[in-house]
Amino acid sequence: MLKFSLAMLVPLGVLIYTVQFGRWMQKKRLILGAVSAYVLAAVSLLLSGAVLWQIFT
Amino acid sequence: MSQEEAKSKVGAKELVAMLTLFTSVNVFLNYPQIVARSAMEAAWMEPIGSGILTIVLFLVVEWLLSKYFPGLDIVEVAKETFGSFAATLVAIIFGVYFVSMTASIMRQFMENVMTSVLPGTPISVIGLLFIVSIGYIAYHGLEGIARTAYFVLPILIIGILGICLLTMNWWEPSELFPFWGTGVSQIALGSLRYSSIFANVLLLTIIYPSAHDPKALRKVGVTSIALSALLLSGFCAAYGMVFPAVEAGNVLFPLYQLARMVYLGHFVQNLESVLIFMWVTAAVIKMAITLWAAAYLFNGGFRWPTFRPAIPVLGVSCFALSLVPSNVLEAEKWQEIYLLSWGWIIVFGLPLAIVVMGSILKTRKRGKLRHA
Repeated sequence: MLKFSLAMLVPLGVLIYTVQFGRWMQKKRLILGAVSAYVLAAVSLLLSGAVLWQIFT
Repeated sequence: MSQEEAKSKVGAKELVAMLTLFTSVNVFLNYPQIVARSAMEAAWMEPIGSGILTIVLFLVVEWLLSKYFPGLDIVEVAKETFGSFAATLVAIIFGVYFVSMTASIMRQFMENVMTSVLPGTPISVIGLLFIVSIGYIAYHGLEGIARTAYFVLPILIIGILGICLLTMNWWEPSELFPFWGTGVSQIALGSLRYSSIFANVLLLTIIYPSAHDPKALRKVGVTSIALSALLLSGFCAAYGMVFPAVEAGNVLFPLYQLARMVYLGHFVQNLESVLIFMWVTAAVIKMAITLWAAAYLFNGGFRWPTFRPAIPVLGVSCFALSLVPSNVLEAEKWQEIYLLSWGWIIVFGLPLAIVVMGSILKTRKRGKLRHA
């Protein structure tokens, strides 16, 4: 579980970075860009979570 | 970096190097094994068949692009022809294809590195190192990738030719007979089926606006495809002369196994440990190209102001996707079925359809304007 939590730090960092980018686009009124950034960030986190869970638990 | 800045201008020599490296890296993957299974003794003919087919399609697409859509990439062509929704859809399809390709290559190389030089290292650590280096190169954009490829290509060519020539003492030319292997029709079918390794047509439609001299692209495309086909064919011929056709189709890492065969006395043997670094470097550049292409397409399709923030999120997705198959055999099977056998629809079919339909619609529009 500890290994899984540590491994998840990278996808979590990427999620925060991408969401921040999405928020920046939302402020610039680039709605399609913002929504796609949120979706990509969520898909990436879920996929990484599922795969790392399989490996480390 | 804005979208306009992202379209950095790249010279012809760098583009030739990049496109050649992009295709030639397949000798490190399971391509020699797949064509050996498909054409048996005539495996070396399939890269040539695929190369000829790609050159023809490349020339058609290049001609249409330069005539009807100068300075536009495939997403912009789709947007101009079918509208914004279709452009986004096209960007997603191509982007997902490149992400899958990166994941597939990454898994094969992770396994290759683990088996050959780092047997005790966890696959996740190797993958992390891969993704950091790929992301770093892709982050520098097309110009950075192309210049790196220009620097690495001579080393790659020397490496491939070196392996082929150093195994000369194992060559059995009779292994290449019967000359037509599984038959002409089977070779033609195999050439078409596995032609997607020459993704140059799709890449052309992406890098088209970034070429320093768009007029030189025809020469760039033909040279890179011909050079890659020759390298692939030469390697398949050497591989076919060392391993009997039936065995050649079952070897897991063809180039690695061939490198292990090198024995020119006590001092020149087991060169795989030296060559593995060269293979990994070439693979990293290939994956950087595919990752950059995916980020660039998403950038265009979703109207992001820059492609760079897409690199980390796509990199992590590639890494996760590469670990989905439970073992390397499953990963290779998925690659053979989804990316190689049916990949030609995305690599050739879709870009060709978009450009041809766009050209027809544009010609009709011009005709109507003239009559009006």
